Amino acid sequence: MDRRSFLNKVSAGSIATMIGVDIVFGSNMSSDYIPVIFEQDLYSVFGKHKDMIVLNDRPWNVEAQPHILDDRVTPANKMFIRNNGIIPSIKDSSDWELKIAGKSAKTSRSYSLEVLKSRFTKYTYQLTLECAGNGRSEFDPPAKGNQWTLGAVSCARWSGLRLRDLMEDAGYNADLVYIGYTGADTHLSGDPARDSISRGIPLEKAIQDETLLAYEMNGNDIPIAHGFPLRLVAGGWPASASGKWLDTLLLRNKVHDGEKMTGQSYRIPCETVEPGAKVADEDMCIIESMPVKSLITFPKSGAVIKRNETLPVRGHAWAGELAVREVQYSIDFGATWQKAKLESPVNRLAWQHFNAKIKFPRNGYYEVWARATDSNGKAQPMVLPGWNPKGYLNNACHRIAVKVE
Amino acid sequence: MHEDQIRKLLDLLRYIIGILIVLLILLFGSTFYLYFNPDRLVPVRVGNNSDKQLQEKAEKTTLLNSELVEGAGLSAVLTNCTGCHSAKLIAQNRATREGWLSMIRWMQGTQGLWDLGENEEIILDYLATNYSPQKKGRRQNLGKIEWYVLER
Ligand code: HEC
Repeated sequence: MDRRSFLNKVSAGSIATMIGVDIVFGSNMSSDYIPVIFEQDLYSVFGKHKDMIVLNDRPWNVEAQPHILDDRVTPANKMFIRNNGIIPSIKDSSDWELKIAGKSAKTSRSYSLEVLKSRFTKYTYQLTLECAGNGRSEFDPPAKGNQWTLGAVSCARWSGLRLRDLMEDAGYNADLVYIGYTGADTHLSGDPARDSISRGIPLEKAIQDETLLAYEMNGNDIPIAHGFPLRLVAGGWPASASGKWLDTLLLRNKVHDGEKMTGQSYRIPCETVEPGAKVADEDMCIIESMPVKSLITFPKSGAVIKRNETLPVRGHAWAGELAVREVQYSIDFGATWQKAKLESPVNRLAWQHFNAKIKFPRNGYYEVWARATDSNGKAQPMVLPGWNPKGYLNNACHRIAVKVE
Repeated sequence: MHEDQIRKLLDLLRYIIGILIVLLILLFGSTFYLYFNPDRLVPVRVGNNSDKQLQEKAEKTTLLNSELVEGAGLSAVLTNCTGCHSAKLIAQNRATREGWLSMIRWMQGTQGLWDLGENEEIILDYLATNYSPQKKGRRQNLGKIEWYVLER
């Protein structure tokens, strides 16, 4: 089945729930719960590339595949979508306001988008955003949530003002430890009293040069699926820290406790656990920097080449807060490793490009494995890293299949 | 026979034919209606649907449901579980009965999912039967490789 007809069937599925069955035990259910959404076609509505894969269409959770992430700067049509709620309909941003609130704010006040654009210096950085659950599908026992494979990562050019500049302009108290956000998206239940997600970053991350309140992506307005007209961008951290459709910043005097900051969300066991273990909420710690990782973006897995040909291979590597020191590849399942050529990042927190030309000793089935090492000397594991209940931080080596004939 | 009597008889005949026509229309109409609404034949007990009824409804809805596999309890899942997010989010996940229960409790505690009443058992049975964990090990083989000749 191709993805388009799949999507069409999905729309039919929600019609079925509208007409086909009555609510059996829905006394607490308001009429808002009746699914009146007719899923629209991702490819026409958001203009996404045809090879993007839909994991969920309500809310939208869509990932790229490695071979379409070959661009040095990820274009909008190949950027993954991880939504927790319903995308707000914002046609006009001329009256958009960002509220500053929270106990550590000197005063509660608002800034219009116009003021944010005109009064503050504009900076542009290429920043890696990866969903903390990228690679979740590989965990055993299975972990809860969207079953991302490899494509929930992007590195676009973001422009906007520094969060630090805004914080200084607004004024904050010495007890400030955390910056939380809320966005204009609606909770899936339709309940306006609920936030679909309200996460954030600690002060140390907030005041970095590269932490932006972005209003442009790749030189254009941010696409609606990615947070138009304003979003936080905290490169190298779980992308969920980079709130979209930003309407409020909360300057907190304690660790932010908004939706999906607490419990098991975006947290891993503070101490490593046996696969399948139950972990109490109080033993879970917030994920900060993402681990070192790499992706082979050319060729697409499944390449068949001739015996005398060399195989050009390229991809990207990133390491959260750190830089990537080295990328190696192996064509013998890790028995031997060769160095790939690695470029420096265009700026801190941007992914780095690597490439290699590979010769194969004889005909047969091969896998090309890539392994990056960060500036602290930590490399990617070849097998799955530590199991955790929600399946975060799978940075196991990526590999592609190659046949030499 | 008297002219009067004949007229009375004819009137009676017309009356009977009229009733017969109305009855025929009713018969055709209801056959037609039930042909397109077969579930009307099943007495509906609101709030106390038996599994058989759910099964029947499930069969009807699977025609239009592309992501969840058929099985006893599907209808209860579609009814209670697709209001907020699509069934795709459910179909992606696999867990033990205990794991499914913990997801339901999490949604009830934090996301506004209602008390499922007696449907909880039906839903858990469906999920634990059709979406149970599969062994993957520490690393699987590369799946579904589509071979192609790399153009140079
Ligand atoms: C009142 C709204 C609501 C209803 C009804 C609902 N859910 Fe959810 N569910 C949510 C929200 C919100 C999430 C989080 C979605 C996300 O993160 O993208 C979620 C997530 C999930 C997940 C992923 C688990 C995870 O940890 O992310 C599964 C599986 C799931 N729901 C199954 C179900 C099942 C089964 C039912 C029916 C018993 C159900 N849902 C009914 C709101 C709901």
